Amino acid sequence: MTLSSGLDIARSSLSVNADRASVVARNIASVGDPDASRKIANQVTTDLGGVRIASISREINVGLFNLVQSSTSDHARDAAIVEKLDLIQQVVGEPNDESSPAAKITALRDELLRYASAPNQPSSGASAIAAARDLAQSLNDATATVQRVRAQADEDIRAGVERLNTLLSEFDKVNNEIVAGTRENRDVTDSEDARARILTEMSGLIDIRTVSKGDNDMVVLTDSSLVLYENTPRLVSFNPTTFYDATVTGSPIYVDGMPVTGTTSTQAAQSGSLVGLARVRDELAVTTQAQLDEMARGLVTLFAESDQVGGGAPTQPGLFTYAGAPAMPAAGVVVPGLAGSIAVNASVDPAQGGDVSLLRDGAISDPGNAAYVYNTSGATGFADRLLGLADAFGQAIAFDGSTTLSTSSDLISFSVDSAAWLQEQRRTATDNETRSAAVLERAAISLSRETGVNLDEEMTLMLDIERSYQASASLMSTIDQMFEALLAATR
Amino acid sequence: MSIFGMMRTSVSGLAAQASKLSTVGDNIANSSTVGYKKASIEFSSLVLHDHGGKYSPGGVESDIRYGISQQGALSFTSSQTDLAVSGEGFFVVTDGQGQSQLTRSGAFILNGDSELINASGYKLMGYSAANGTAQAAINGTAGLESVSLNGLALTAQSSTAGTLSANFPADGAIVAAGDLPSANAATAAPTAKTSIVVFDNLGREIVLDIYASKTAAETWEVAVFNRADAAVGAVGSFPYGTAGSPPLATQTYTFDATTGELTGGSPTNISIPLPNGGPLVLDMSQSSQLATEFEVGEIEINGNGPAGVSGIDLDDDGMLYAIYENGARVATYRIPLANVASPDMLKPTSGTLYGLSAESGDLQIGFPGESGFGTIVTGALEQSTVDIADELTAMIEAQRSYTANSKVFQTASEILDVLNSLKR
Repeated sequence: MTLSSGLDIARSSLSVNADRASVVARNIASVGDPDASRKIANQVTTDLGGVRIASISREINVGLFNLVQSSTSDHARDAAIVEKLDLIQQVVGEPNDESSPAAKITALRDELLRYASAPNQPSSGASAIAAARDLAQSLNDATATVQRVRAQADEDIRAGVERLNTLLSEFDKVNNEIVAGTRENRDVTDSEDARARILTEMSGLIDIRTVSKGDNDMVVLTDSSLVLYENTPRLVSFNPTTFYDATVTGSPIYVDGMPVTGTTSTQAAQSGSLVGLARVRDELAVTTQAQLDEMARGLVTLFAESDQVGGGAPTQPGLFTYAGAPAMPAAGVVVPGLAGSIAVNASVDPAQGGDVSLLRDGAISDPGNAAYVYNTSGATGFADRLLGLADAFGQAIAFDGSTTLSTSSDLISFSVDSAAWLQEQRRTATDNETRSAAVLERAAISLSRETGVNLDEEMTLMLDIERSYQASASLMSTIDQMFEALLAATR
Repeated sequence: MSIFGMMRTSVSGLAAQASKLSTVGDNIANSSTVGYKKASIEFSSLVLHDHGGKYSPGGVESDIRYGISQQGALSFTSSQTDLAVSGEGFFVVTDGQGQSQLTRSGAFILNGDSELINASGYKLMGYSAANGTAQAAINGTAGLESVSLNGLALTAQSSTAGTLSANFPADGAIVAAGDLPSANAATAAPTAKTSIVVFDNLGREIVLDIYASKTAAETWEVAVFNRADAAVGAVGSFPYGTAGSPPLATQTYTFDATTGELTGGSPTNISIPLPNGGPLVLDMSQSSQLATEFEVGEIEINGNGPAGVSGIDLDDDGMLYAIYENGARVATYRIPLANVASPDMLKPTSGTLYGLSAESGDLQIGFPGESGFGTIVTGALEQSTVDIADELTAMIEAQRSYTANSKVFQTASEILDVLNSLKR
């Protein structure tokens, strides 16, 4: 039994070493791939000596992998918010920026004061009107940008949801392959790597959590326990809206029939780029728009003309008019979209054939109606109206609470606060993004170090396998020589 | 007398050594045959009665021995249908004509009829497990049939049992009676939702939407709807079917305020009637009510859709499972082992088979792993028990012995020649 069994054992050793060498070759081939994990060939002894490869497994670290997923989600959400806030801030501007609506409101007041010091000079009047037109234009531009950012966020959400559905169907295929292979005891490590890669990409879109079932099967849930994949993928649906204005509310994202964003959601998602985009579209941009609308309403209210003769004529918008004129906007309540429609009244704008002196005298809202004329004497040096307007910039106005700023302040302070608020949001978002990027990088490096392929280790293992193979081969040749000796004795 | 006796004795010696050389030849020829057990010759002396002072040479008798109870080494292959017995016992095979035989040769492959045939062309036999666990007829081959994977395609099983454990948030808001999912109105506002995939009798996938809503402190209502009835095009899925129609199943669970687990009096499962299948009994006894958000812990439901056979797997206890494309494992046959009281006394026949003889004892059938029987190893083959070095050594010995015996014959012949030439 001995020589032949020795030969068998050496043969099994050779074939096992060949298998191990092929596993090392696979590892070396995937050295540069960040998603590939190290494969290990598990060797066991068999009855009566001999060896065989029992299975091939992959190096995993579940805790680090989950950490990489959650930090990917956080980082994606923060990055989406920072990107969109940057776009908004370019038009709304910083508190010290000359191009911000806040600075232009102050500039308008200064122009009014200059006009008040020389009310008989039409050129001062023209420059005041020009400042007013500039201000109205900047409010319109800011509104257009904010709504465009919302529309872009909506489009990005649509693309993200489509990508998520594609990933879920890919996950379905890979998962079925893994389960079938596990039941048949095949090597499924490459498919497991692919599944891990899909999970990491999904976690960038929405936060996910996984639960393992028997036979290497997996259930994918959002962090709030809505099912994304269980035996079959669930549908992630979203109704895109193409055109946005201040009155349009975006639709929530639905996972498995339940909303994950928006106020109606009881199982809301917390991170992922889809959540970040939804937060910009439904909260940050809407609040910015409300602040712009309140600034516009403040201007319209401030420059309104009231009845001067006691004839019961209603107050009407003066220098600044809007889409709802001649009715005045209600006090203390935001009018969505007002900042988009605010404009300088044509009757006082020289570029539209108006009369600049109406700013000094009154009756901008209805030229020729004596009820709205402030300059009853008709003197060209009448500065009371202008001074009164300039003063009003410093008087408190009641603002809507939905702007999250003070409900009662003067217009200039409100506009400065608004710019400061946006800057604060952006600074917080940038801080969060930097921090989550650092966490993600650390986690990814740790995961790679624990489970990735180390070229030095693989080359060392290769040497070990080579020596083993040589030893088995020399064992075979020794046994062969012993057979030779025996056969020689029979000649 | 003694010279002739010497010739007869040397002839019997020659015959015995020739016999031994033949076994050596047979063994070396079969040194790579899977499941082969080596044959050997044992000698015993034949003694003739001697007559006072004169020695009568007898001879030698030979007895053929087969080392059938010796275990051969296992060599592992990559084929899952290669089987080997480790320990005592034989495979029961048939030639298709109704006769069953015993063998250790387990290099089985699937033939055209999806039966397992070995290298000699014999089919493996086993007990059908299609109707539950197979019973062995202990001392006979009755009930055995050839293992065939034909006709095992496309089975579907309805989901009948499962486990779902979830944590219900202890701090959730109470839902008004009109907005409960069980009221099935468009205004339904459940606290949380999850969904599972189950199968009906024909293997169709059904998605069940499970809604959990808090009705009172520590009391939760779980309502189950069929996704197929969900409202199309509306925001959200309510109402399912016509508004106000009842859900597939509803159950109310009460939790203990101190431990967060289900109280003793609360039901622990929910029975869901499936359209054309079921009823599905979902065990929710591991659910809890703790102060964290809604979380699903374990989801395991039985049942599978229709699929074809993709492979086979043999367990340690001899159970042969057919593995379907969708991953389901169904027990098809149980492979028994046969043993006799004295395996060494079995009669070897062509095809690496062993037949019963008068001395071997009666047949006993049992399953791998039971006492007195070995185990079946998949993916391995039992090598021949022949060691070539041993055989060559025995061959040298037999050759020398043969030469010596022939020398004795030659000497006796020469002596007789001398005697003959004494008288011309």
